[in-house]
Parts: sequence; structure tokens; C-alpha cells
Amino acid sequence: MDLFSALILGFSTALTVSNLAYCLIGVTFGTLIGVLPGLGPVAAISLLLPITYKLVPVTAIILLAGIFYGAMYGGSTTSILMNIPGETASVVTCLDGYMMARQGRAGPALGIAAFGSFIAGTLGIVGILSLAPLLGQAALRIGPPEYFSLTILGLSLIIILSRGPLVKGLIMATLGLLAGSVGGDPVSGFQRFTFGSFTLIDGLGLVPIAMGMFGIGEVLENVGRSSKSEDIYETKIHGLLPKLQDWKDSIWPILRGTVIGFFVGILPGPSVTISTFASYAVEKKLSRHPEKFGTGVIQGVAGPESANNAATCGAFIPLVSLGIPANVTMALFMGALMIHGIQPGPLFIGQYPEIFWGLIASMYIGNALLLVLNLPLIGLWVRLLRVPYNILFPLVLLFCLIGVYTLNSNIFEMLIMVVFGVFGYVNRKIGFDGTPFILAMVLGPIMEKSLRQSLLISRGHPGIFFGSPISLALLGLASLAFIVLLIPTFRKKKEVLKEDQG
Amino acid sequence: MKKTDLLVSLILLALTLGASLEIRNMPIGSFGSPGAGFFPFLVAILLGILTLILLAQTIWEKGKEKATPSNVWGEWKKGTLTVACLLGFIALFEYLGFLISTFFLMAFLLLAVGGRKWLEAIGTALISAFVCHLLFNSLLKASLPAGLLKGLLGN
Repeated sequence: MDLFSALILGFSTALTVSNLAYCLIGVTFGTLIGVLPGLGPVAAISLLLPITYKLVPVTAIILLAGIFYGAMYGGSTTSILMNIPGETASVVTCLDGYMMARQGRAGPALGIAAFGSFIAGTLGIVGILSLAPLLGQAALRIGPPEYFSLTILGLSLIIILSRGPLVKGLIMATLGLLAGSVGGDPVSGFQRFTFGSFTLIDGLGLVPIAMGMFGIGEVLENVGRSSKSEDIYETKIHGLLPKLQDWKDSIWPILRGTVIGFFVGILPGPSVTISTFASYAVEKKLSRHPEKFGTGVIQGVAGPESANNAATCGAFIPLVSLGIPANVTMALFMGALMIHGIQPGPLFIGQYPEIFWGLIASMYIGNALLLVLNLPLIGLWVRLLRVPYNILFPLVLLFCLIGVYTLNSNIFEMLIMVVFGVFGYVNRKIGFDGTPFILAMVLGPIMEKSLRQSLLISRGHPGIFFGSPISLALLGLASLAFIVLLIPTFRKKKEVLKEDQG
Repeated sequence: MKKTDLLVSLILLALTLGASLEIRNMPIGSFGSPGAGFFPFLVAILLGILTLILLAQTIWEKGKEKATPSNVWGEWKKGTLTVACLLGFIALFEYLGFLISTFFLMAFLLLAVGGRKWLEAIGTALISAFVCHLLFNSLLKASLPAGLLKGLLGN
């Protein structure tokens, strides 16, 4: 299918009344959740994931994608107005965004964040159009050994970039692999770790665990904090449309942030967050007045905000072309697709063109909706921020509980969610990061299947993983990543990055 | 933090042992023909090794640990109360039904954890329960149990 026909298919799919409506719901709900401190896109997607089960697959994915980049945008609003990042990818925006607000320039900060995100999102979509089909074609040539090595590389990067000491990241990943093996063996169907429970026959379930660890766990951590209302910078927000000088100062940071964000977003791990730090560092390095960064320069908002939206687009590429989720959000997307009986991977674009191209078109429409709707709605988000957290959190918990119950009307799944909520909460307190656990749980079955297939092909000889150049290169990259980590200078820089993230 | 690492190491060792006992009941197969227990077996070995490394690190760094004052109960109190509310909700959800259990959940969380005033908590809990009932049962057609209100709500 040529690109023009594909785009026609995509827009004709995305521009139906119901898909437009769900795109609007997704970006609005995503922005709402992104605005609320303590809840990020993972929690937002987890909350609405059960609702998507009643929708057709393309509509479900459009809704979830809208939530994802809506949450990215919403997070920047609290960063600029309250100096509190709505989610980790908005941490950097606090540095200059809040200072701009204090100087009476909240409007241009919010405006350039919105426009920058729109431009980055649009260009990021072009990137997906270019790379995803190519990567999908290349992926058809890789076999079980290469897939196994790819999952090793993906998991390695996630572990290395996780918070906390390396050994704790490895332990969490290993626990995730074990959790992923609960249920029927993917090859023979043999029941593993089910202890006679019907609920566990299909495994622990990605949705209850993700909602538990990232929804309930987040709330449990936040309720323990002070309930004093935060300072919202009190000023009438005006002048949302950036002036000519603002555009002159921002256009190159936006374009650079887009490129950085897109390519970093493809990498596994907290790539969206990393892209914002990378963009900020680049802008500061290239600026004629680096000493002004942190005092309210628009480049400090334009670059990172563009980077995080472009990274959102980049993160889709490994999922749709290789079937490998690059982060927890993509793992939830993967879960949503698999619940509808769709396996993302090299054959995804060819077998489900209406879903892939419909998703691409809806991302463009969603970015436009975000720009048009959210600037006028800023006043509403500010009012929402005044609602005390100790009134909001019971609603969030309730939505989590009901959301899980609607999956299979199973009380036991609610219990699994609460247990993993406690697990996630305890992990945060004692220095373990939940991200490797979730990713390992999702990648584990893929890793196991490709490992066993490879060993069957080679009749037990592990040399099969080193015989293929692609597999060898992937394993080499994974090893190199660990070696680099062990070098003291790089370890020190990683600690600084983690402190900034934490 | 180090005491917790010691406790975590012991829990992980127990988990590794438990998993190993369960894996004994699975067909492990061989390298040439891996069975259902092959992958969990490798993972369990890895977990055991990593846990021993964590334990060794914890014991090695024990001497360097500075005593820090902790207010463990203060930090964990609200979280514990919240979890207790959630477990109570789950236990009574199908018996009491969605509407009644939601009301009690919201009321307890707002009062005991949120520290809101009685009237405000009860009012908010009532409104939330009814709005959520409309949203989930009427609008989204989720099949939530009516419980004690079965005759009234007809579900």
C-alpha cells in the first residue's frame, strides 16, 4: 500500500464520529490526569483500560493514545503554574517554566509548550511513518535467537536506567520474569504457579498489576505526604499566543528537541523523561547565555516540551514494528491490543493497516485537538488544581477498584491489584523501582518463547545466540551497557540523573 | 534502609525456595528440549544468586551505616489505613453491593485518611456513590453487584 492510500485509510478511520469522540475523550481525560500531581500517563491509561474492552480495537487504541499524549501535555501545566511536575517527564519544565510564570509570563510559557508539543507531535508522526514500516520489514528477517537477544537488550537498558542500585533493578526484573511465568506455559499450556486457582490460569494479569503498582501505589505514597495546598502562582494568565520574539527564541529548540526526543523515545526505559533532560542540556550548551537557564528562559520550556511529545511518538515504533514495548505505557498498549486478539510485531502493519494508519491519523488529530482545546481550558485546569488531594484520592482508588472489577467481575483480581499496590508502595519506600518488574513481566513470555524455540532449533547448543550477527550485536550492546555502567564516571553521572529524576 | 534490605533479602530467599519447590513439579526438560519448568528454573537460580549478592552487600555495608531516627509508623500510618479500607471494601463489595460499599469506602477514606470533617465526608461520599452508580451502571453498563439493594436496583 503506498503512503498516500495508507494516509487516506488512516484519516477515513480516524475521522468517524465515534473515533473523533473517543480521541477527544482521550486527550481531555489524559490532560486532566496529567494535570493532577502524582498520577501520570500510566495511571491514566490503567484507569481507562478496562473501558476499552467494549470498544473495537482501533477505537480502543485511539482512546489510549489520546490519553498518553494528553497526559504529557497536562503535566507541563502544573510544572509551569505550580512548580510541581504532573509526571516525571515534566520535571525539567519546572526549572524555567515556573520562573516564567513568576515573571508574569505564564501565558507564553503555556503557549509555547502547547505549540512546541504540536509541532513535535506532527514531526514525530512523520518519523513513525518513515521508520515503523521499514523496521517492520527488517524485523521479518529476524528469528527466535534475534528476538531473544532483543528482549535481553531491552530489559538490560530498562534495568540500567531504573532508579536505585543495579542489583535491586536486576532483582525486580527477575521477579517480573517469574511473575510473567504464572499461568499456562506459552508452548505446552502446562499450568505454572497457579495453585489450583482459576483466576491464575490466565496469569496474574497486566491490568490489575499495572493499576496496582502505578495507580494505587502512587496514591498510597501521596496520602502520606502533607495535605497542605500547594502554591499556585496567582496571576491572570494572558497572552497565550507566543509573540514573534518568543517564536524566534523557541523555533530551533523545538526542532532540536523534536529530533532528540524522537530518537531517544525509541530506546527502552524512561526514554521520555531522559529526552527532556537531554534537550535541556543541549539548549543550555548551545545558548549564548547558559547562565540564564533556570531564571525563566523560554528555550528551557520549548525544547524539553517538544522532546517529550516527540519521544511519545518514538516510543510507538518498537511496539508496532517489533512487538517489543519500550516502557510501561507501551506495555499497557500491548496489553490492550492483545486483549483484542491482536499481536503487535513485524506483521502488525500489514495485517491491521486500519489500526496502524488510523492510530497515526488520530495522533495528528489528537495533537490538533490538544492545541485548540487546552489553551482555552487552562482556567479549568487551574481550578482543578485547587481541589485538595485528600478529596481526589478516594475517587482515584474507587476508579481503580471498579475498573479492575469490570474486567471479569472477579473479586480476586481486585485483591491482586491491592496486593501489588502495596508491593509498589513498599518498593518506593525501600528503594526498588517497579518499572523493570512490569516490563520483565510483559517481555518474559516473549523471551521464554524465543529462548525455547532457539534451543529447539540448535538442539540445545547456546552458540545459536552468537552465531547470528544481529543477535551477537544485540547481546554485545547489552553487555556494553552494563560495562559502561560499571565505569565510575558514568556511574556518577547516572546518580546525578537519578537525583534529578527522583 | 539497610535493615529493610536485610529483611527483603530474607523474604526473597524464602520466595526463591518456595518457587524452587513448585518448579520441582514442572517438567524442566533439557537444553535440547526445554520443558515448561525450564525458564522458571533459570529465573529462580538467577533470583537466588542476586538475593545472595544483595545480602552480602547489606552485611558488608552494615558497619558503615549511620543510625537515623525513623518514624516508621508515622510514615506508613495513612498508607496502612488506606489499604485496610480497600481490603474491607473488597470483602464486602459483593455482599453489600456497589452503592453501599462505595459510600462506606469513600466515607472512611475521607474521614480516617483524608482528615475531612464528618458532614463534608458523608456528603461527599453520598454524592460520589450516586454519581459513580450513574456513571458505571447506567452510562457504561458495567455489571456491578446490587447486593442488599438487589430488589430496589434490580441487578
